[in-house]
Amino acid sequence: MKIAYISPSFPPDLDWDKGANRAYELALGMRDAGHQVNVFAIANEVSAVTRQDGLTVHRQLVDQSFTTLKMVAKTTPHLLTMMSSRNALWKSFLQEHARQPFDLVDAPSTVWDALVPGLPGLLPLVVRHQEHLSTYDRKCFTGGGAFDLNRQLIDSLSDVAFRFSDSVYVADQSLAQQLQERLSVTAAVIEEAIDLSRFTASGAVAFAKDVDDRVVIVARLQDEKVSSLIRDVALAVNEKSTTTQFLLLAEDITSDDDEFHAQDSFKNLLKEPAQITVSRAYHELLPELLRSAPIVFVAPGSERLPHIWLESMACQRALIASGGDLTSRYLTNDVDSMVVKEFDSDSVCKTILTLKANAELRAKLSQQAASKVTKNHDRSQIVDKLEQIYKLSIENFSSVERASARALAMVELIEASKRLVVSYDKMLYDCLFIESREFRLKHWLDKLSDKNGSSFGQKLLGIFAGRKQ
Amino acid sequence: MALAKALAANSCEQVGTYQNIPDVLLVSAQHNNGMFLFYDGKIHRVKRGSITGLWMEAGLLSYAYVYHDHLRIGQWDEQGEKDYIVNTQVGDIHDIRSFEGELLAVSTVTNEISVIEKEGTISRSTKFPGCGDAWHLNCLDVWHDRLVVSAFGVFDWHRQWKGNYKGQGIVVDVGSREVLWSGLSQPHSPRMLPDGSKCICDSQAQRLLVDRGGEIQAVDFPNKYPRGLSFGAENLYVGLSQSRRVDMLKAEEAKAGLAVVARVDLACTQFIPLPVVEIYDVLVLPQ
Repeated sequence: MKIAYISPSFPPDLDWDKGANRAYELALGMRDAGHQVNVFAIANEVSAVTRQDGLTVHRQLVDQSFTTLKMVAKTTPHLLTMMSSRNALWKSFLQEHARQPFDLVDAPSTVWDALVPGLPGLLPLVVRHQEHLSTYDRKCFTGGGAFDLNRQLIDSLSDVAFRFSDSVYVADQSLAQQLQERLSVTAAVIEEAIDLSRFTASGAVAFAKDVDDRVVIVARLQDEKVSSLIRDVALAVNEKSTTTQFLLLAEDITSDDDEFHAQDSFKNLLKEPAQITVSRAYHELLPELLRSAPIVFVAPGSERLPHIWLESMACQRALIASGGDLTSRYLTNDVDSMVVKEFDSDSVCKTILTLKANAELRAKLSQQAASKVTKNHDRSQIVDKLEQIYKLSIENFSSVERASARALAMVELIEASKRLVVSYDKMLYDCLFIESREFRLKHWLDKLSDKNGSSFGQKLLGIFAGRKQ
Repeated sequence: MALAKALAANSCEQVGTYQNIPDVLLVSAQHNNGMFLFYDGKIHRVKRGSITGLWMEAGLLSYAYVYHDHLRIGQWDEQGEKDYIVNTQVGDIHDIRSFEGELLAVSTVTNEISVIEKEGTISRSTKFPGCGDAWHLNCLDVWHDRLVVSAFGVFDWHRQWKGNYKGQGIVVDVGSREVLWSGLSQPHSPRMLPDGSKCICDSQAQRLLVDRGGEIQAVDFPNKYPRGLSFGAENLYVGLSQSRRVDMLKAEEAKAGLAVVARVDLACTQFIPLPVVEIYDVLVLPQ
């Protein structure tokens, strides 16, 4: 099959975030299964076609001219995202499709504007439902629109995407149920995949010295709250055990200089001989880094969730995870991992000390973890399932039923476009007559902040906030 | 010189001029400083990005970007920018070169030298003992048909060489692991000249060493970190970086540049400053 993947962010450009990681693993899995895979992504620096890992990756820069539009950015940032990035992505895809037709396109549900009217009838469309925005989208939506309606518009058009698609797949059963209940859309479950040929229990071990008395921490270090949690955990563990060494894999450090400064910031923190070694979370070295300690603590906000959990589990490490939305989907507390309360340093410290003291518990957790990952997240097996979905989508594409379903979906699109106009009218009305004073105040304060530095604007905002109270 | 013309035509900016250099040169630099072309008396910045190894063969220029989490090789021919090759199984690429018809890349962080295919896949790797960046493998050359690589030393663990590099550096035969030169400190850029002389930048010792039939001569570069070496008919061209870990606030005062050393007597005849702190590689383009 000749498959096109649409993924606004795709590693190694931008970040290794959830959506990007999912597209990356599935694309590589399809490559291993012998398919010809093209990926269409947003470029970080230059537009280029790259030969990556046996894939052809078309990276397209966003249209910078739109980013100067002031009102659009403030009121409907999603529109800006669509105009500046999604158009670039789809244009790039369609041009390539015209040159060498694809058999199928696999797009995330967040790329709702996929439904340019001609596309659904052009080739089979498979939607992978992502509940989280990609890193690129998050950056675009940062600060949000002035109106909640903005979000509603995205959701509404995202729903239309499901109806147009030939197949939908999600990462777990609960998401499939949500889609079924909300939209009567049947979605297949394609679990998160990891490459088990890389993440195995055995293999070379980086930082081999004192490996038994070491804890690996995976975190985004530039987040102050996370950084503070790590300090508290390290200090608390160090109080009880001065021999425990820490290897901190900083996901957001990408240069020698930042690594050097981060290392410097932990100097003399712990009682000797304990120390914290800071390293970049090298993707290509990750199996070795994870294997270099029996215990792995993944701090809240890790950019590689849930993959980093699964990878640690595949390496047969005793995993400590911070509780959150995703934990219940992938982890079972006390069975395959230890789930602790988010940002609770005492709880993390206690769990580390418990695991250090109890080799039997560590072994039990790590064996259960490896077994779970092997059963549910082996990339080669997952890709087999996805391959079946693709084949079925291609087979059904030309059927009378699909043609009819697409026609009905088009009717819905017409209805949705009416709702869009009504929503837009309400948004403009709110902007001009309801929220205009507040909106204008915010607009001018932002402008002042830009000119005088953020502190001036923030002070003014503080004064106004005080008066309001 | 069609490639040099094509590169000059894509100049981002002119950063200086030079005189009395008979060769056309490329100089690469990290910290997003890119690549500089010495051509027709003018120095052009022809590329941005953090670039390390340079290689030219059959009219195709290849240059490696240094990224901690992947390999990225750009390619340029006389028609302009040609291709990008990316691989996510290796990273922190310090050097590239062709050997026996294959494109090789030194993946410093995984302690291996890999054969890179056009599709961005790896067909074969020579993995050195130790874990992570244990040896700090860096630059490649071919000495008497043997592929050699310079390294900070033989260590077991990731970055064990830190603070432990004085006199530990080596040049080693990749195939047999035979150590061909030892006692070095953070060596880079091994080069064999057409007359059989072997050169190495003994970077931390701030000198260039030239071995002429067993007689080793040193060219000292006080307070500089020599790294990046190429040669023309008359000269050796040595990249001189500011000492490592320069306070970035003072980076503008720092002067890295290119030293021109006469091959005949190893006298340093010129120093041409460049607006960068560090230089990685130097390449004389074939005329």
